[in-house]
Amino acid sequence: MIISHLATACLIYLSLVLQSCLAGELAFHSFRPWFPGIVLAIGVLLHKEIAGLVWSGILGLAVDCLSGERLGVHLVISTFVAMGLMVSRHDIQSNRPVSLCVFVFVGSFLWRFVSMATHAVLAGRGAVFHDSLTIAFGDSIYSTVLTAAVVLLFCLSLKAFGRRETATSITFSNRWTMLNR
Amino acid sequence: MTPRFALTICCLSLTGVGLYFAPDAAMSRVRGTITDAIRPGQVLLHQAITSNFGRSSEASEEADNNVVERLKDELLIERERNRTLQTRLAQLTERYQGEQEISTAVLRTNRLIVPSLMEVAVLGDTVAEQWRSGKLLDQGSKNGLRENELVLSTKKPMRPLIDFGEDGDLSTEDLMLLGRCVIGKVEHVGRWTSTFQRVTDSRYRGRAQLIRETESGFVFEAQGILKGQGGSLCKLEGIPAEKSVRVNDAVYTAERDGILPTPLYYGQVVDAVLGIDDRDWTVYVKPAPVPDNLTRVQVLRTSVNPERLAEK
Repeated sequence: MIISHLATACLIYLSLVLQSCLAGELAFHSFRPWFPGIVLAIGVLLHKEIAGLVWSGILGLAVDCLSGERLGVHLVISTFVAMGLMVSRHDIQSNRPVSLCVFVFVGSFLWRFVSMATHAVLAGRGAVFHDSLTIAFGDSIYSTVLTAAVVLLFCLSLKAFGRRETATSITFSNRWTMLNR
Repeated sequence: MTPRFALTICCLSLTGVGLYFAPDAAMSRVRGTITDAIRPGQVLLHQAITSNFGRSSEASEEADNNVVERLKDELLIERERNRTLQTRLAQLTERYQGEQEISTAVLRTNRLIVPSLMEVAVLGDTVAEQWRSGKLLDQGSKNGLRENELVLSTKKPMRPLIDFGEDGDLSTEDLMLLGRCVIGKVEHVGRWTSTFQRVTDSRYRGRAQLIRETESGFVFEAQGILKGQGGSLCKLEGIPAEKSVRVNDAVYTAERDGILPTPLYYGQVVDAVLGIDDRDWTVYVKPAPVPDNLTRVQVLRTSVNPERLAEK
């Protein structure tokens, strides 16, 4: 349990560093990966309800600090997005890689769209729903593809370098089983 | 949904709302703590990217790309020399009074507060919406950075300025600042890191003035407030309708409390509209181009003149 909390803290730190230093470099047609959304999805799958919410709040506050806007907006948004993901967590099938990708897409899209619309309204720029929708959709697709690629690489490397089970001894019973196959 | 779950959501939401309405000083401390904590990771990643990119570019260097980059650099340098000449000519036109020569007594600065430049590395981008544009800087209050200090580009002419002669009305500060262009100002200052907002940021505000070429040389024209719009152009507001504004007029910083001895370049007027019932001009300014891969900037700081302190 402590290891999972440590891992989440490290992932939050890494997501902020990557988002500030690398997201601009990886931009594709003005769409950027949303690393905090990926970490939010991992946190929801990794932790139970209360712990997941607290970590999502901490992640939102850290994003607030990097955004240059007034604090609190991303904290509230990330909390409610995590709540929504946790409520639907029980309905998702047990295939973890697929669940992760779905959560990354839904979480990133909701977070980006709501944060852009909220900041636009608070800044007095009026509702910019169409632009927010386009950018949120693009960013979330990018993040999902990136997550899927990393998960695929991870699974392939596990398969390639994982232990192969070999029989240590051949007894009468398993020899008979092998002959009958 | 258990009661504890609902309570946690309520607590976090209230914390968020409370932080939104918290005083700026408290927010700055929290923000500065987080950005300072992220700094070591950013520096490491930056160094890793720079060293890997340097190795791969050495391996696959192409002559065409080098020529293009060299020409781009030369173009930036020539543009900066043009701005230097514009500013100097406008200053000389303003100060020269008939046949009277400029007194050499005003050449060496006697100011109490003098400007200085500090070179700062750019760590990365802020996580901002598309109408906000900001960068993270590698220095903070521990190195003397303060909010609202101007951020300048680092490109400087490699060749020396044209010799204005022995009576050239140039001080050390003029030499340092002539031809420089403003790309933003420091927004939030932490202990070891800061953020700066670009001139195109929707919250950027700065006093600005026009410089125009006339038959009698370059002259300073009307002053206004330069505002970022969140897009590629800025708006210059507050210029009365009775003043004249033309496309291609240069836009510089307006003198601020006498601290800034030399105007700094903002950009160029690309459109100026005056409606029939308008009291002020609507002027659109294209800011000076900034490289996409900005790695270093210079921050214009003010400090006490050591010569004035020594006199006492």
